[in-house]
Amino acid sequence: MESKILSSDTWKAPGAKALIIHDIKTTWPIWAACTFFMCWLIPVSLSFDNIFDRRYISISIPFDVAKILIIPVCILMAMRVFGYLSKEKATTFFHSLPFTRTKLFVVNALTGFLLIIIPLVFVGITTVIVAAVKGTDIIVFMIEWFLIICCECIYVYGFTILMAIIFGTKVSGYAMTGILFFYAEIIVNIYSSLYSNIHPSVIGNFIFPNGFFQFLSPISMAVNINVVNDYWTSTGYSYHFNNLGITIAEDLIVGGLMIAAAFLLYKHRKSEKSGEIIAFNSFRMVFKWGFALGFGAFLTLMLGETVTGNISDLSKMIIVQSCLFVFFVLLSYLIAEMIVQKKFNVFYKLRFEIFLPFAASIIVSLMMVFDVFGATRYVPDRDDIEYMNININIDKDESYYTFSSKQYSARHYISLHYGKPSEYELMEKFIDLHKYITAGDPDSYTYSNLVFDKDTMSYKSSGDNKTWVHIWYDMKDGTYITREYYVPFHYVISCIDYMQAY
Amino acid sequence: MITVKNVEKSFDGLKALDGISLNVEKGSVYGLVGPNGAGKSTIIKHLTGVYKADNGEVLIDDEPVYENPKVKEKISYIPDELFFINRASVKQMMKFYRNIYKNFDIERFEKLKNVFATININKPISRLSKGMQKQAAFWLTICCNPEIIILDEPVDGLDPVMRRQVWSLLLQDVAERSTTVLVSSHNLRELEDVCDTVGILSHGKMLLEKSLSSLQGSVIKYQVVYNGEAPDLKDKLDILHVQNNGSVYTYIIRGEGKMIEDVFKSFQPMIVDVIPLTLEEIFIYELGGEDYGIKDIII
Repeated sequence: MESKILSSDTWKAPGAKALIIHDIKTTWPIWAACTFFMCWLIPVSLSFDNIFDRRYISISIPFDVAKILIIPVCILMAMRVFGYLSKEKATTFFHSLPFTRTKLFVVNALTGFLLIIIPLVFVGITTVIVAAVKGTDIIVFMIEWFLIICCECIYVYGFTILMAIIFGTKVSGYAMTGILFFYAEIIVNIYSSLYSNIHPSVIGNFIFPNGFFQFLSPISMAVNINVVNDYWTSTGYSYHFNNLGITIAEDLIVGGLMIAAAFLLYKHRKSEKSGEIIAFNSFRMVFKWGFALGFGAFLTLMLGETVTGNISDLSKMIIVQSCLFVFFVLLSYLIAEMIVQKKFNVFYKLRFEIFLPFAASIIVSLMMVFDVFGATRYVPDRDDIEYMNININIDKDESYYTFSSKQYSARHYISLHYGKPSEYELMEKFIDLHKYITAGDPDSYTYSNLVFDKDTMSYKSSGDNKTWVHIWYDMKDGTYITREYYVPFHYVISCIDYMQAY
Repeated sequence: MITVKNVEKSFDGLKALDGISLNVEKGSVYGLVGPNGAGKSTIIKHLTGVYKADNGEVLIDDEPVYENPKVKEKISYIPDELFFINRASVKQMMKFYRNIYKNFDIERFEKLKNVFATININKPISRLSKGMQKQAAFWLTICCNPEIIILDEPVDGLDPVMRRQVWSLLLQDVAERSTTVLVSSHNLRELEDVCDTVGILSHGKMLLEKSLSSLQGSVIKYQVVYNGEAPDLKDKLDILHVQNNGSVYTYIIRGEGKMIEDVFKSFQPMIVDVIPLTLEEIFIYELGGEDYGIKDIII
């Protein structure tokens, strides 16, 4: 039975031809730039680099870059071919023409996709020719690469079309595409981090294998499929991709679902919504809070360090980070509201919802930064302490720093458990140590980047050499106090020196 | 030809069309008038298949318009806000339309170059003046040879000579090809000379739908000069409006002309003159009692 969507009528002239020509003309900067940069990146650079002549040098770099470069191309193309949805005049024009919505969607979507793929075909063929001239047969590899990049395009392109249909093709569409990519990356990374840090051997089997959620993020999908050198043949190394089958399957399934969802929504998208930012009322809140939380988290990650960089107390840092997150989420919510309302003056309308938490987050942040309650400097009284210990974590990833004459290796994790109740003097020393850290106002340490230069026999600034000092007090009243400080490395050494001396 | 039955349309709870019905005969010119926000453009977007009605039917030749390319192929539409493909010239738009409308008449396009001689067909339309863009839209629309032409505020921006020229071309199509024209305007003067039937919209409702001739025959304006005091005619005639300037009385009266004149003559006036009414005046006095902002229609 003939498909209703892809029936011959969909392509039958007149109509489809006019749309295809229109799409080719309106998207020419995208496909022209894609062709140019892809050609420059792969066949041209490889032909100059003589890379096929070398046995041990991977050819993966240009192909890996191409996988990333194609992502913005897909986004721009999808937004462009459905660009008319954001302009009322344009939507009225196209929807008044003698086409069905199905035909408009299928012709536009497929034309845009072909305009991405055709440059890649050209690049692939050119690369095969260049390789052949250099005596290397990479046809199989190029077919693999082409399959992978096509499927990746289906995913990203389908995802962006869905965003374009729901959120339009102007700033809101781009914003939500970026934000959802960001969310997906966070989910993938959190799961991967959990899997790595809480290994199955510790807590039993995870429900999903490591990397399972990769399919949520097109960026992860693109990054995690790599070229590997496989085996030596008479004409040189044969290359192939790892995880080829699973990546293609995931891309096709997710991309296909996205396009199907986009098609269904397009059919129900009201023309009168074309001038508006969000085409479906039910997605308004999704956009506003989705944008606010995503962009807020992004800003917190990017800009939070400037505020929390000098804070050594972990609890304080968490509170300040949380306040900053609230601050940036509210700020992002305002931006989202401006986008939806298409005007800047939205603050008055939201003054109560925004201003109170906004002010509260700023006040709490400032109180924490300036240690209004003295929490960072608080050191318990000796007589109230039952037991205490100090952990000093010297980052295992830092390598071979030598300090003074003590020759401490930075590759060790030092855990110092002292402080039995009977050891009164030792406990006194620890309390002094704590006071030493707080009195030195570790919050103010911004340089903290000290390594020992053997040539000059002195410390010099380099890298971020801070480390954690964790102090734990068990109090006599049954409570406990923990303090964690992120202090300069040399500070740790001073502490250790201090205890060694004891 | 065009049948609209009880169409309703709401935008986020705001009712833009409230049960509108209208009928347009084949080969006629139908004028759709109403103040701003009356729903003219909304009903036109239903007729062109852009909007889907919440309730009711929009039919052309008894077939629904929405999602029906066969019906939409019969229609050419000039919206109030023109749209042309990015940086497209008239020549490029002609090719675009030629690929879409199978009746597109390339010979007619060539012939009409003389009429629209000021337009450079190779220049991007977006760089032409507003009036020239409108001319280009008419040029392309006429060449599509549609059965139905729908015009939303069509001649804004055209100079008087070009207005006449454009209407002449449209009416020529009406006469020769029985093309049906539906034109919306808030300017009654514009429609007076061309429309066969007029429908007045207000607040999403059709207030009145009548042929122009029946409208013009039903309301008459008289100027009467009496010898002495003016008689009280309220019980004798359906007077819509009366105004006096010295001994000269001006009446707007609904009714049959002969009967009205007989009533006047029974009072032996010095002068009784019949003065032609404009479409504007008919609407004012027919609907003046209604609270529909009729004054907004009159520009």
